[in-house]
Amino acid sequence: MLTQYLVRKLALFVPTLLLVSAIIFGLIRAIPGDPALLMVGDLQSPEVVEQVRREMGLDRPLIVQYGLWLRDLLTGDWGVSLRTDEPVLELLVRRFQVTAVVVVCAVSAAAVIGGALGVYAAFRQGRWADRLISALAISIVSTPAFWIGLILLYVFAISLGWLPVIGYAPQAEATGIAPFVLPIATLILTESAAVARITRATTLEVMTADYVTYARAKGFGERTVMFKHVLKNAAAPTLTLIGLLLGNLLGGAAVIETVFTLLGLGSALVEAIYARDYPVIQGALVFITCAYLLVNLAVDLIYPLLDPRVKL
Amino acid sequence: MAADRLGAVVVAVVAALAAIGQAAADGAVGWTEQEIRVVLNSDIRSTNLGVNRDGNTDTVMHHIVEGLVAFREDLSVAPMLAERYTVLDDGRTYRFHLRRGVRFHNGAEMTAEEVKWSYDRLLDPATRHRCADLFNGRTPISARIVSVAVVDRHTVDLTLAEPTPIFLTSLANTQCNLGILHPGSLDDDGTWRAPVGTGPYRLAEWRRGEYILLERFDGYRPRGGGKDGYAGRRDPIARHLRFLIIPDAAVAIAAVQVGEADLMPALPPNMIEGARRRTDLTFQDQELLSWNVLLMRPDDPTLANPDLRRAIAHAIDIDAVAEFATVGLGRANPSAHSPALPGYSDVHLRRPAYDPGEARRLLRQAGYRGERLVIQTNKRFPTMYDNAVVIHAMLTAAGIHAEIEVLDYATQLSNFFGGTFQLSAFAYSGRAHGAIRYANFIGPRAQNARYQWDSPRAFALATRAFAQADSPALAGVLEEMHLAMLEDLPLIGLYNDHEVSMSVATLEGYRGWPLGRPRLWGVWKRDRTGAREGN
Repeated sequence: MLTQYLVRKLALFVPTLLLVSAIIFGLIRAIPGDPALLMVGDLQSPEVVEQVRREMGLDRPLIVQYGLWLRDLLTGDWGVSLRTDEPVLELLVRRFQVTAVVVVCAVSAAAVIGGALGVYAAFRQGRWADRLISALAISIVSTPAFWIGLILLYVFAISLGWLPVIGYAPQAEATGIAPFVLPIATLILTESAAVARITRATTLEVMTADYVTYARAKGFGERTVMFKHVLKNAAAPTLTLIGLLLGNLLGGAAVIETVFTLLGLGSALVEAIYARDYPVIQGALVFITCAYLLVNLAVDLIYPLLDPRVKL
Repeated sequence: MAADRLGAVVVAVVAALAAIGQAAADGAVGWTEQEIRVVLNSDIRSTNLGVNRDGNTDTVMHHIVEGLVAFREDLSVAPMLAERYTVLDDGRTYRFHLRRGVRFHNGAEMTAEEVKWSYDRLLDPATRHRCADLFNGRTPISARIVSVAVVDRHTVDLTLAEPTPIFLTSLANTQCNLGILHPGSLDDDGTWRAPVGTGPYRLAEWRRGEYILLERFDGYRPRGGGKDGYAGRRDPIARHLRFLIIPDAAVAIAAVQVGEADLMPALPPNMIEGARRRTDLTFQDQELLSWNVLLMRPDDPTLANPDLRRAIAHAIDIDAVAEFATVGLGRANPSAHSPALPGYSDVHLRRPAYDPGEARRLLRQAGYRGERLVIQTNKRFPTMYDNAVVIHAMLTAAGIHAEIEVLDYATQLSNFFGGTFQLSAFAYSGRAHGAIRYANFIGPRAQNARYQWDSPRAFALATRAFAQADSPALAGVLEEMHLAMLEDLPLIGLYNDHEVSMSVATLEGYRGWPLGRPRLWGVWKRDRTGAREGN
């Protein structure tokens, strides 16, 4: 059953990826801006610019370029960066590792913290704890993540000097996790607020459901009602949200990565867009699509564990 | 009780952060004190000299390799790896007498053979050198090298197809770094390995997107004299130079403020005021060669009318634009020539007077009926955006229907090269010779749409400027060019960029220069007692 489901889902990936790849390719080529001109500038004659364009394969018809890219993609050759000559797949994997560490840590912690706060607020509905949690959550959700990041950077890196400003290797080698603390903390703050809000809302909704009233009427203790009936049913929408957050962030938390000088997938994509580095942009977007699909598949697999009505 | 528990959690989190912070501080010892850390806003493209390059790549590579000649601080050309040079055959042959005892990073002595190898490689189309067009006769400003000949172990001749007075300036070009390499820079199959140059530093490590680490070349023999631009004495004092890639300017400033970096060479203008509040840091101002302009596309149906272009010129107060965009540090420069170069005179300060009344009169004379004029700009370069905003306000005040179109830089650049714009807040990169600065925008648009000034008079003046490129008469020609440009108005000159660098107070020996690229030889850090570190 599970195997059949997986095969069916994975088979659906193929047309999805094909469609996405065509959209990605088309949209990127529709953006004005010539990578050959960006590379050569005004130092050389138009003939040389044309020659560079040929070397980049940009002189061929778009459909041919797309076909060649797709063929290479399927054979594992994701091309090389037009800007740095670095193999695209190698670059993306390297950058994804950084993003994955930050995002998985942050979202896991946010799920626990946000979930707990949301449930607690729901049980204390209308009391000061609920009001405090709700006010904090809405304030944080309404604040851009980069601003929170800059404030944390200012307090803990600049004013107190406890953590490094620059988020990469020289410090990372010497201090391990130090460069990752602030970006993870920023994401925990922003994402746990979102998780808390939806958990509170769904918990409140479930708490008013007939089967909860029925459980109480049957004489079950409040603890049993909560853990066996309320939380299990309230978890499904929260799980969906966590899956979406994970998918979105694994696609690159570009702003956070820029603020903390983290060499993640998002900042790689932004750099590539500025330079019209087509192979990197295309590769990164396909990579992100795959990550998104896989996260959603994982969420789909977990769903039936929480809600027996959902069949694989 | 709950409050107690919350308090305990907060204390625990703060303690954990403090512990991590202490570890960070301890780990920072790994960044030796004999190292100077310089911020770059983007990574280098490659180490393949002149082949895959940009400004930051050039900055780093200039510490690793050196050319036969180089620009002095005053932007005149001086011998560098050459001891001296002589010009023969009425200007067709340049004979370079090489310095003796200069060694490559692999220990080999630099001789005429390596010079010939380097120039042959540059001229070989298979190399795809980005500056080959400066020496193959393909562009109007190009010399054509017809032979590179070894005269003896320490003498080499570069022979041109015809006398080209601009040749030495092209050889000193900083955009492409025409450094002399050892053939060991390539693998046996001819592919690029790593630069083996003669510079004061050699490449130790490049971690893409993170940093480039250079180490002092202990076999380096500096020229005599003092530090002088890219020429002169290059003392590698600090043992290591680490170029840190920090794309975000606010983070880069913070890195210098907390001592994780020692030097940020160029602060964005809108952050200068805030950064300067720190009195424990050192700031330096420097006017650069790069030149901000408002391009006016003369073949646009609306802007083809010269009276309309004149009206626009009278509507813009370029002093105010310069003051606004450079936060009061820069000064207006209506000329393509630069105050940093010889021959800049008061003539180059002439410009259409700021006179909105005259602008309105010219608009009526031009039959202007409120046609929309779009100013293209971008936010990647804050000064270009600021220029567009101020100019938009001034044009609107004069009765011109102007709009701003904010593009990303790649798009604006493509439009510039394709000539697909009406008005464009743009900047020309710094060129160290008046004739080349004008050549940036003079030429037939039919051949290359990027040329702004397409007129027989401009072509004739450019030809004269290149013919007299190394003569005192050049100053007069450049004055004529400026006055002619004011009549034709293919663009409006605004000001030269202004660079403010920020460094830790212990950094000594660093100073900016008009070419803007930081030079880290002759630079060191004082220790707490005031003594020189870096050995």
